[in-house]
Amino acid sequence: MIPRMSIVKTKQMTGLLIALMMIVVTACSGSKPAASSGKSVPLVIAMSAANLPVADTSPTEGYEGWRFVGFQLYDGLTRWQLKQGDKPADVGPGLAESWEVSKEDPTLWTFHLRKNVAFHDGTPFNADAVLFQFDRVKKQDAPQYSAQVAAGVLTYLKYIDSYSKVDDYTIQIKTKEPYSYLLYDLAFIAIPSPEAVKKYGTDYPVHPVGTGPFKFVSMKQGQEMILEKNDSYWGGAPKLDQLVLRPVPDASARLAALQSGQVNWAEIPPPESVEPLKASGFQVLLNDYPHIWPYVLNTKEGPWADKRVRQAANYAIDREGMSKSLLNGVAKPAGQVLYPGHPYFNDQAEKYTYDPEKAKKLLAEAGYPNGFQTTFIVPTSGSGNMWPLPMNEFVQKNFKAVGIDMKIEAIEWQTLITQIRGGFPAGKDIGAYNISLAPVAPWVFERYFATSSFIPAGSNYGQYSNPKLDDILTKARHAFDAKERDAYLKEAGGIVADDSPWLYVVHDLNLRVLGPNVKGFVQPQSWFADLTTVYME
Amino acid sequence: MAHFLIKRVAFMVPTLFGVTLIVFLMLQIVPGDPVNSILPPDASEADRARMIQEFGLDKPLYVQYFSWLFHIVQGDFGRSLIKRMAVNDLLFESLWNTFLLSMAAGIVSFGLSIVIGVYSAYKPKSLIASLANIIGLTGVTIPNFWAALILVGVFSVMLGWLPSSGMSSIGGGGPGDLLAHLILPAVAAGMTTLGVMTRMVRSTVYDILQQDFVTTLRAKGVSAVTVLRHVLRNGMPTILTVAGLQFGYLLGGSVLVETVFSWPGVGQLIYQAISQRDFPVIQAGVLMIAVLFVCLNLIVDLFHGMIDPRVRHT
Repeated sequence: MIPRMSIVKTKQMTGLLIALMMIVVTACSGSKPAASSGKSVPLVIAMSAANLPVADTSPTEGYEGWRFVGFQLYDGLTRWQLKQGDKPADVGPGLAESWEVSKEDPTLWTFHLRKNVAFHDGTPFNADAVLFQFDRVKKQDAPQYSAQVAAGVLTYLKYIDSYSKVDDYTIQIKTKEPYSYLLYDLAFIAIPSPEAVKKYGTDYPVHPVGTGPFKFVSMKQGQEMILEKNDSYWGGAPKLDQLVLRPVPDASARLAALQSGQVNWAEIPPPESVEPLKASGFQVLLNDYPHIWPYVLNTKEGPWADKRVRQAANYAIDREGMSKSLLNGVAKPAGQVLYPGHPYFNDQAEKYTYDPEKAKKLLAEAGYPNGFQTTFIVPTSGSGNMWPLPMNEFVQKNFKAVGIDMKIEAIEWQTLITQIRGGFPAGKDIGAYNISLAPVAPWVFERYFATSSFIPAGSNYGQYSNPKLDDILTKARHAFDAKERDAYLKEAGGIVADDSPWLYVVHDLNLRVLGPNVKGFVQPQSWFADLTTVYME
Repeated sequence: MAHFLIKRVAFMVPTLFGVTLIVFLMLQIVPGDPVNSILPPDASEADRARMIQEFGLDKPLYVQYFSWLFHIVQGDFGRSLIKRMAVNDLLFESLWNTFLLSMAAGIVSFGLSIVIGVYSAYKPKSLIASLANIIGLTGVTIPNFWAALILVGVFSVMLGWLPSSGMSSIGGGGPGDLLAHLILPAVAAGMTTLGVMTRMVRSTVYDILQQDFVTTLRAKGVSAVTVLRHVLRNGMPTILTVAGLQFGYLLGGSVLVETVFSWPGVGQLIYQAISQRDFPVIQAGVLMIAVLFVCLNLIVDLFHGMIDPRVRHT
């Protein structure tokens, strides 16, 4: 029972409340980010990563670490070109201005290095600096060799056989076999200042020095990393004076930070916030980029070994429904590894519309008129995996409608990564892994679908094998003309769409929201971002 | 008292030793290892073997365990495999951050709950008592991460009074800045404690007020303040025990609040280390939480001993 309150008491209470609020208001003065004197307003980015990426040449936190730290502090011999958003990003000159492949020996590459470039600490950049870093990640008996740094770029070193200095501004790289994708790999071999690496030793990650557009200023573990512009950047100095990175792993917290003005850039806020954000003047950016949310199927044994079953499942998924109603338009339907408009997208391939009748027909042809039961192993979170549980439940319902009884086994991300390395355990009746694998470079088909990439050599977890595809992929790897190479890869894209060793579900659209005062950014068709053009108004 | 203290400290040693053993063994059971989270999925077995050797994970378990123990006894927790920094640097900073948050949450919730609890025990039919009931129930039933989001929505997004996340403004700031960043997480983290404690204080004090000695005191005509002093002294052992436990929960259990507010505390540190299988950080973090918990218990027991002579002699 609530006793009645006298008017006097009400007034007292109100007074008390107001006093409390005053205290709160006074206490919070100065909570807004204030521009330090003489400098323009910093750009503050809320990353989705839970940690600040380690600022070494192999940053942690996946591609987000490369996006905001790796490619801002460092350059490779080549560099992702990210100033345009209307076509897929490609690599171009970085610390190497030009290069050529020997006509007689297609495994021998010569790189001409950029002159008059200095690291942030003043150390001049030259061939020795490049060799120093190659030794650091490849030569196990070099004093600067670091197994941890090497681990982050192992994939990109796979085809490199040897390297040597010709003169101060020329180096040669020999690949193990003719390998036309080398330029994409070299973009990830970031070059640090040899002097800084020697000077700081194991503490180098907290004193990183590169040649990139931004210089490292300071870092507070778990809170913020501050970068400032490199005035003498060879690619043109950034317009921003300062860049601040904040790890904000919770999507709602990123939204709140953006709305309260604590940050001016948020990676992947919750999809349902898109409309209200747009309405209040925020810039909601979406664009195609090489992302795919698939199921990697067990094509070795069980029902999924039959191509008709795989196609049937593809026809059973309501991708439009998932993209629009579940994901609020931050993703779009995927029928292949890549999206329409990408050079490896094949428009002649099977088009997986939402057609449950066709799915049932195909299942009946394959000998499963009443469907079957299968277990899918799915992650609970993880880089690129979007919102795994609701999305998997959506697919589960779609499958149920055509008779496929999909059991979802949700496991923690690291456990899934560990388990998938073992492939599909024999006799355990596991139908698929749900894992997002990023098709960022031309090696995508080779790495995930070639017979030579059966685990442990590569990431062909489902042991899909097609000699015709292998043949095309070899040709593509040996094609040094980009047009010719892309034609082969388009053919490869068609084969893996038709054969469907994966179920293709959606492409993420790289949702990112910028404050109304952030100008000059181009959302590229890439996992990475060029921040040199950005300025604050 | 000295004897009591020595006995309690001596008890801590086997407890902590047990904790080290359990933490170490549990990590061996968990699927996945740091090597997998560092290496790309298509790394060869040779690469894996090299990393495992580099981290010393190929040595027999007992060697790994004792070498770890040997180092921590000297105050060296090793290096984080993922963050590549000394664990000491990572850990003590985040412990301090969590301690700040827990202290703020603790001070607010303990203080408020004693005032509200005692008042509503004295005047169980007053408006404040009813309010206290509501506070108690909401505190206990509302999940703190949800409350955190609501607080952020109201005080950061709508009103713009307080920052929504982090510990400081860019490039640092003074104590005022820290306080501004501390208020919302402390309230969110302290809500459950406030709920639990308010209910507990009220019922404890209420029960004591019904006892004969209080009636006797009142009959003797002593002042209300003196009565209150006696009541509190009698209620303190119970209140202290629960407060100690609650503070322990605040230290170890604020992971969700820390995540919502991007508060770089030890809960977040351990949680992330677990998801990356950063063994040295997990081991050190869990061990330090255990040390704090045990110390806290010791402090509570000491207070008990001071207040209640019976405890000292058992």
